[in-house]
Amino acid sequence: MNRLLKWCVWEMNNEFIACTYFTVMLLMYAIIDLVIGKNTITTAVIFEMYLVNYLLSIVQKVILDTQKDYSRRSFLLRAIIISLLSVILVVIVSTLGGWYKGMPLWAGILIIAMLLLSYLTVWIIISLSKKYDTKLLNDQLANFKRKQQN
Amino acid sequence: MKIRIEKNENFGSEPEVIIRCRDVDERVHHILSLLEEPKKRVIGYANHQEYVLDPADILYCESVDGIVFIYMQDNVYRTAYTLNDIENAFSNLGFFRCSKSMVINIYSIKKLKSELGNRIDAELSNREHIIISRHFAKDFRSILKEAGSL
Repeated sequence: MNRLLKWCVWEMNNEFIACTYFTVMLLMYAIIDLVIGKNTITTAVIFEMYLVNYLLSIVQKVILDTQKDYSRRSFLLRAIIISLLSVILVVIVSTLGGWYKGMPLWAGILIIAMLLLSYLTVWIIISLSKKYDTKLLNDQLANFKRKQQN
Repeated sequence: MKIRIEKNENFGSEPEVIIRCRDVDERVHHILSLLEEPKKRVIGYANHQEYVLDPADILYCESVDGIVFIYMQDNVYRTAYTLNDIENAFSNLGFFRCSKSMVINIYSIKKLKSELGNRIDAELSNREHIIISRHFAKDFRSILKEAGSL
């Protein structure tokens, strides 16, 4: 029962991540689709997008287990592997699935570029949040020392 | 300075000390420090000798192969206490369990850095770096936060 419950939590978390990625990817695709005036997305493409994001979410959870402690180097290495695997997987599935049929070449490249850009944005946000957290921690430490000594 | 001792059987079992003064100056502080409970000390061993250590001077304690070592600014001592003993006895002096094998003195921390994976890198006054693991980082943050809100 405990194992089943654990799996349910893991799966719910996995689907949440997959759905978030899927929404972002679909939005990017839809924007470019609108720009080029195609205005149609087939259900097959939508389904493939969800599947690839589900797979990406599993890859992320397996490679980067948030319950484990990683060294800074290991964490960065895992993050780079996830980013590269994601791009490779998306390129393969999108090419095989014909996501860019009827689209100019630049549109396909733009989708991949946006995907890479979204990863870069995530890392910038993480880096900024770490800087803010560091400042907060040092302020709290100074406060701790001051108050305890008084 | 006048010293007066009043003895009366009607007084409570715990002696009471009242200091009457115009200003709380250095002499009064000295009296207060003498009246305070005797400071707890730690026994450490190094070079086949026994040393009595002031907990305030300890940077951190580490358990290696079941033996607990006390790290001070310029020396390392072995001790018979367990990490749990040290943590429980000196938590009010800023001692905190930062990983399974370490207890750190918060007052010895020079600065903190928020790391990936929710870990915290603590730089000590001797420039050594200690990692507060994600499992213990949550408690560490609440200790700092609580002290700040007092």
